Amino acid sequence: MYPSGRSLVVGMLLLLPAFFGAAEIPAQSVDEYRVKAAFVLNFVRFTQWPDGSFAGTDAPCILCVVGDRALESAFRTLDGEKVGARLLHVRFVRGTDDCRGCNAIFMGKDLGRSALSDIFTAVKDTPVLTIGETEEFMRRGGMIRFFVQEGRLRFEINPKKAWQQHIKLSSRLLNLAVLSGDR
Amino acid sequence: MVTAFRALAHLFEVEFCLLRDEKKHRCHMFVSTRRKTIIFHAALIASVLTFAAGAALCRPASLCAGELDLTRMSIEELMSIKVTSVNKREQNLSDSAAAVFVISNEDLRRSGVTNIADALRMVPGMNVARIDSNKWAVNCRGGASRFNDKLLVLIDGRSVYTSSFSGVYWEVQDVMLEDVERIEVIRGPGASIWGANAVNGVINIITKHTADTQGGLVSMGGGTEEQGFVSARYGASLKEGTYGRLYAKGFKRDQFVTRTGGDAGDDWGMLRSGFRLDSRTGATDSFTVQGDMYQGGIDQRIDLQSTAAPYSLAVEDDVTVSGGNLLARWQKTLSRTSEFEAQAYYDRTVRKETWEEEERDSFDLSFQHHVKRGRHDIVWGGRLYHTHDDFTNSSVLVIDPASSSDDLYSLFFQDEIEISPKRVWLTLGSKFEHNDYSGYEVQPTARLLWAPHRSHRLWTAISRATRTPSRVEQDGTLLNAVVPPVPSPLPVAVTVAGNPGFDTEELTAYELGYRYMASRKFSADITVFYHDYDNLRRTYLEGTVFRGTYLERILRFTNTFSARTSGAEMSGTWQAVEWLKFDLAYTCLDSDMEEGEMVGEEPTHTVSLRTAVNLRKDLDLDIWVRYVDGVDRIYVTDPYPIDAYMTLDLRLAWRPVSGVELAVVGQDLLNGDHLEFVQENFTRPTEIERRVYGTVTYRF
Repeated sequence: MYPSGRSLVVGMLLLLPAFFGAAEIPAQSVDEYRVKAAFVLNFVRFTQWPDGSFAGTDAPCILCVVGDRALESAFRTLDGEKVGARLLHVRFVRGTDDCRGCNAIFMGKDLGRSALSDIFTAVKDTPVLTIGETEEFMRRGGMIRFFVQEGRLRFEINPKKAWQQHIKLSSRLLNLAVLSGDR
Repeated sequence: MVTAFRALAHLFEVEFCLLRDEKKHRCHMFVSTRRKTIIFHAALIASVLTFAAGAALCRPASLCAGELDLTRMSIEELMSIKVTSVNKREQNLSDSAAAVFVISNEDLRRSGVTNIADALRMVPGMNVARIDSNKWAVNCRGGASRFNDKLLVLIDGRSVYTSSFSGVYWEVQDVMLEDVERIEVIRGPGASIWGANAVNGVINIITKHTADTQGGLVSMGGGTEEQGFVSARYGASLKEGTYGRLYAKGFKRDQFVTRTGGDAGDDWGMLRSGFRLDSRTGATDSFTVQGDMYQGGIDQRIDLQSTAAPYSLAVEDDVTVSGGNLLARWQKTLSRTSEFEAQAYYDRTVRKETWEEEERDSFDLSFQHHVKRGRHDIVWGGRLYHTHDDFTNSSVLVIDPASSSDDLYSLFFQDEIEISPKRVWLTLGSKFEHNDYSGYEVQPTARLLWAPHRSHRLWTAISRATRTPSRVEQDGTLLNAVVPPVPSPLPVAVTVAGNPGFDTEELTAYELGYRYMASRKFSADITVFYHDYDNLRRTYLEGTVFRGTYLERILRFTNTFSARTSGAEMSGTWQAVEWLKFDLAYTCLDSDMEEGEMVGEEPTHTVSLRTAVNLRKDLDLDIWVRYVDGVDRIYVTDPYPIDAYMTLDLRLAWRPVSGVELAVVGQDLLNGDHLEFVQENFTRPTEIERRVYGTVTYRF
């Protein structure tokens, strides 16, 4: 009564899982900021700063995070991670006063126009990697911006802004980004 | 252990007939399955062992422990993770100027349904009636028929309606429900973007991206009607950015009962397997390749009419169905405001019933470009569809020509204009189609969406849709009934004949909708509609012809019927407390379609109320109550009354350890055996029974 489609079914089942490798991707959704923090760690690892950006070869790479409390728990896990030969040090910035001495700054989406304006003025003409989430951030001179497409995180890079500050972004990073701004 | 597997193998019968004698309904040549059985057992043992081995092998120890170490992942891997943000709202749906309802993966799991057709019962505006164990009549906004021709159904972008009768054979549409991302149901004409046949609605079944189905899933169970079922899936990442999965599933379902309590002879079993591969190469391009194959045996007991004595013959039909499909899709992000998508697929279906035998091969090529420019959000694209069929004529159905190729070309365009920023949107669109039957068709739509406040949405739409003629309507001749020679001297055969000049059916739809989404706790959606149909199919008595031993009354298809349907569809969701959630769907329908005598009546009121109770963190209870009004369906040529019914489905699920879920589901618990639908001809009225099944799902 039932033709033997069984053999083809079983044939497919036999394709061994053992052949496949690499990490497992979670089935459930993951909190957005935990993933963004992991992305930022990667961005920092694929960035080259110009000479003189760091106090010495042992000096840490400082990531400043500006935004509300929600970001803290997500970015805290990055503290102490390796960035090449250096260690990453995460600093949480409340106002805009502590923005000096940062090698990279992550600006949360809740930052208003004036806050963004102040930060960009403070880091003007200094080699700081700027990462943000809003279009306003990009318009003011941001380098990398996150956006969500089909439930997954993507990022946009304005290579000219990075070049202007002598920040070198790896081609691997540029290949995975959507490039914007005039070249 | 071997005996356990042997028992499992016997769920799937091991008899296999190579040469069937149609007239005498017996088998000439049985294939010895002894050898096949041993191979099957060995393969089954081997595959289960490799699953176990795969589960035992755990790459990065941190992942085994259940912890997610994102900092170890590469950028490509991070780009494949699905993210949720605290304030996320279903933007797409709340801002659509259409009657949309989404069945989520969670809805599917908690409802306890085992097939797509039953899942649609929770959607307002949908009328789902089970004809027997293996047939369903799924209709939307009027027109009750198993051969409903006004609904477009897509599975991952592949259209599953058949040009044979412009409808869907629901019994061969199946996916692993655990891996369904969502089912979008859009009631009303969706002609502008979707495909041909999107007259009364579009059902879009979307399976999960392979990145979301990593690891293994095995689900097994059985019960009173669901005699046994197994589904297994394994997904893995092949390299960074590329993910794949394989799945296989099979089930055997028991027969229901006739009106007199005897067996209905409608048991069936299906086997299906498939794969999907998704690959992201860089930031801008992604590819998907997927395919499925299925084979099944479906039993039915039908009454075939014949022009010679005894005029009506009860036949135990062993229907065989098989098919497969292969689909490839390419998506490219051209810029932040522009995306392109191209898709191609091939689909083959084979069906052999006593009265109907067909093979169909279809090819489809389509592309779509989405671009945002200022206040305009434009989608446009084109499609090429080629289908070829081969019918084998029987004494009941003759298709002439028995083999035919049909082509369909279409172009569509849709522009959503933000007339007032974040307040008012006007959507104008149209589809231009050319098909081999009726030439050119234009299907325009105009929609307006107004957001007076953050929590309120008001929309209205006017659309035109057309329904392409099917093969049977143009080229078929169906022996519908034979009246025995009493009192007239000769038997009278009533045949329904196709009309080569059969035209497209038309619909002009007027819709108005309101949506309220204040908070995550409560949301409501209501749509009212008025459908004006023209050129609907009906038959007229062409004449009576003397054929020697019998008289033939020829009823020819024509397009002279017009009908109106109107109604309201309402849905509401209320998260009363953290552990209690209610989902209500109500449909009210007034239709005069049945006056054309081609379809039966649709129920006036339909209610569905789902209650989801989270008893404990590891214990779920779901209560689903449904009410459907009584109607008069059509059986052969006479009306057949079906009583109103109220039914209850219960599901209790327990998760004792992480990765394992045990569930017990009771369906149609309130009534004993009840009728939901009667097919127009051939199939005898069959009652749907009360049933229970249990299932174990293991994820690893």
